[in-house]
Amino acid sequence: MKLCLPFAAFLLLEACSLMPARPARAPQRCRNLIRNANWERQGEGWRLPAFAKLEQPPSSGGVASIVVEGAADGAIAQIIPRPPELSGLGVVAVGYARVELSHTLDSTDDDITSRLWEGSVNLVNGYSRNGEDFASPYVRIRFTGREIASGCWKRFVTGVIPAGRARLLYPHFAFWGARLAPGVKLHLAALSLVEAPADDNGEPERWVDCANLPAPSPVLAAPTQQQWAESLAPNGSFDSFHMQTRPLAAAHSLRELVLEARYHQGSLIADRYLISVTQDGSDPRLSPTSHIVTALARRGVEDFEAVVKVRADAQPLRIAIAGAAEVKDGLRAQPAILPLEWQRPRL
Amino acid sequence: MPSAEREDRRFRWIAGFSYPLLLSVYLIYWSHADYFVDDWFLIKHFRHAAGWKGVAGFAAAAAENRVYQVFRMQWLSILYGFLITALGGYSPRFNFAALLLLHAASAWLLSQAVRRAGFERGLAFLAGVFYLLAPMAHFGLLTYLANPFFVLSTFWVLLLLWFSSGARRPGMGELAFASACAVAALFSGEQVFLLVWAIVPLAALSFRKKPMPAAWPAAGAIWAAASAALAVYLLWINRLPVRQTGIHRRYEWTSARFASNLLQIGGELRQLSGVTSDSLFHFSLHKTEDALALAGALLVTALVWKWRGGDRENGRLRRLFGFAVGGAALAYAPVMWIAGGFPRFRYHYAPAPYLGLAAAVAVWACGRSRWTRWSPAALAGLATGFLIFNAAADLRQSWIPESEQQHNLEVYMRQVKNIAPGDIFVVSGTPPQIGTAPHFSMHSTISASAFVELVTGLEPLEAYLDFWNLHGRLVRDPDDLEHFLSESDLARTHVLMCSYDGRFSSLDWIAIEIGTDSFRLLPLKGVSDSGNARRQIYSREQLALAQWPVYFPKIVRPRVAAR
Repeated sequence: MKLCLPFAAFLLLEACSLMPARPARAPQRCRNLIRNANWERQGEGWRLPAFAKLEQPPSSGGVASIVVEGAADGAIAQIIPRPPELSGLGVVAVGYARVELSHTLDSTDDDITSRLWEGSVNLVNGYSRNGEDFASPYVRIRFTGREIASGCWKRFVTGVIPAGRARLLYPHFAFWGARLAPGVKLHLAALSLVEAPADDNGEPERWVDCANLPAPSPVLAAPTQQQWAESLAPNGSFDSFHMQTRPLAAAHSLRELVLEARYHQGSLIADRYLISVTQDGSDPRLSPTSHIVTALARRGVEDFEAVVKVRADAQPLRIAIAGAAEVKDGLRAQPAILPLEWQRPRL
Repeated sequence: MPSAEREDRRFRWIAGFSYPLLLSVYLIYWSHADYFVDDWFLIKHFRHAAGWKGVAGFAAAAAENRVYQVFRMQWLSILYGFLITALGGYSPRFNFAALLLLHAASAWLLSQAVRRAGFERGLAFLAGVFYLLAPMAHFGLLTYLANPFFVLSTFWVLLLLWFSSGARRPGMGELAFASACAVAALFSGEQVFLLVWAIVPLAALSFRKKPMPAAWPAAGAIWAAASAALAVYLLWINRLPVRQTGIHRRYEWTSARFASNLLQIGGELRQLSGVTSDSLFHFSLHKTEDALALAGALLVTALVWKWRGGDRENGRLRRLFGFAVGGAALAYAPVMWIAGGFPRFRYHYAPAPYLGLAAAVAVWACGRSRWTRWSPAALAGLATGFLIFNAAADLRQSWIPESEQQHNLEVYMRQVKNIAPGDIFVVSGTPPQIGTAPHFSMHSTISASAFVELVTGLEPLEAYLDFWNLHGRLVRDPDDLEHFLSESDLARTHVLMCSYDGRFSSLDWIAIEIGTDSFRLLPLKGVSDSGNARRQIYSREQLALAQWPVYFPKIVRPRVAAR
């Protein structure tokens, strides 16, 4: 009877798995396993499908990107034999995407990806244990109207995969039955694959925040996966408030306020600033008559400005601002403040 | 007394003491024991069944299938829950202890059945140990009144197996006893339906006892008694249409359903191992289970070595393995067509004895040669340690956190002011599952309402996991789009929100979406609208800035709305 052999093998496997796999070393921070990350030399080392057109950076030292239009089914990929020193470690993939439209869309927080393309586009942290069958943990590339209107890049970060058991690593942008709508161009850039601990406690972003990794600019700020899942409000702080008033040539009854401030991101990220303005003296934090302007935050950029139109005879003018983040349970804002520099008894 | 008989007697006693000792790993959960989902609903019925008339009425309602209002054959288990609650009061720990003892008794019956069938004591003992600590049994043991269906019906089947594994031709009294066991199993839970009919013939065919014909009269008596009981039940006792409210409603007799359930069951067994990357809990070291695993492993190693015996005849072991696989297949068979995509962890209990027996046979077979005689004892010890770690990890990472969250909710709910009969509770944001443990109360409306009534001491109360927004109108259930909530319903509604770390807070307003990014606020119970907030229209950003405690109902997606 051969029953005992599989059982003994099972027990051996269990015993091995009981002992935590000790990595040979700590993850080397910011080490990019992707070769030719900036698609130089016509994308040498990359598998580029026919639909992917290489676009050189506008300036030297910039980041090259790939532009996709129309029907697209395939992968922009590298297949990397797993380096032996990754035993016991994990890897996380990061990539950037931007959408260019020939027409305008509503600048709202609705997910409009389904209006941009059929099928799906994904950043995949793929791997294979046997060299043939590939597992494809992915993060879906999505955009809201507001993100597209900002013209900024959006960063996508996958979860960590344990690289120790993989034979091949297969990071890629995957187009699964995708067909982009007419007038939609998708730009993809700077796919990187970096080391991380096999168990990252649900915070893969910690391992991809690296100055030496290629990244386009400007990039939108986004809460971490953990912050999103726990629906936590941001915890940064504002300072350096300034305000300028400009007349509007086209409308004499209106004025344009240029509001400037600086926001220091905390450990919990704000992906936007909510600026609430009232022109009747009511509290802009609570008033249903407030006019709210949303400015999306950018990674690594502390200073920002927002432009608000108000009536020339507005009095008194009260303005509040708060950092906020879109998280699992909706929009979470930190307590709003009323900067003295922005309050006016009259314009 | 011959020495073999004396040794068998000692075996019975030692197994009887060892199994409760090995089960002590479950005591990690003792201080966290709480009721679970359907329990709340049943307790409400138990409380109403006062006096002899009330008890008799409840028993009749259970037997006639008027408690759940679906056709099930499990009324004896419901009565068991009633009895246990009557004996121990509304104490989850008493229920937990009773279920653990019942489980230990079942494991003991399995071991004695294997021994009576003529197999070595070591193998018999090991089969009981593996069943006792099987990861498949966790769910059944931690949900007291909700799942005696599984534990109790398995107990009756094992009693039947124990009875039928003896070599002696049964007398009339013994046949009557076996028939009673079969009938009890038949009405304790329908997952063992096939086993009730097949266990005795399967044992007779597999064990190949010398007086083989003895099994057939027993099987005949059992079939006759079970058939008669079933006919009487269906014709005169059950009050619900069998097809429409039972078989047709719960099952989906398609090959696609079979395939998907098979995959799901396989996936859950893998997740229960605690060692795969998709396991719902992972092993961790802790002083208590280190000591328990070491002590359990040493105990089992010593006893298996003591009872190692010399009989490892291939054919007999193969037949026993075949019996175990057949038993597991019969226990899993009804589950393969159950409709719906919910987790099926509770359905692993009934096959657990047979899977435990199969594992024990596999371990036992390793010691066939003179040079590997030590291996069954060593492997048995290793496996026992593994199973104890497995149980402890599941308890610590799934059931205890879920119990703590339940406790937080109970405490918070008792502090909610201004509750009156007829009020509505919405408890939003509770995680549906932590590891293998589903939420203990906020899992379905039927249990949630009974839970809030018992915790607050007021009834009637309604409870929901969320309200749903259908184009600006609110419904309680996304599958019921005919009954809309009115403003007066909202004025008697309390909304509690669970944060990611299990803390609860009360919300004062409900936001009704009346257009794109336009919300109207309505006050919930106990909130005065002094600022006339309800007359205003707010945007999402305005509400976020105001930081008012606002509840946003879930949106009914078009797919659901189109039903």
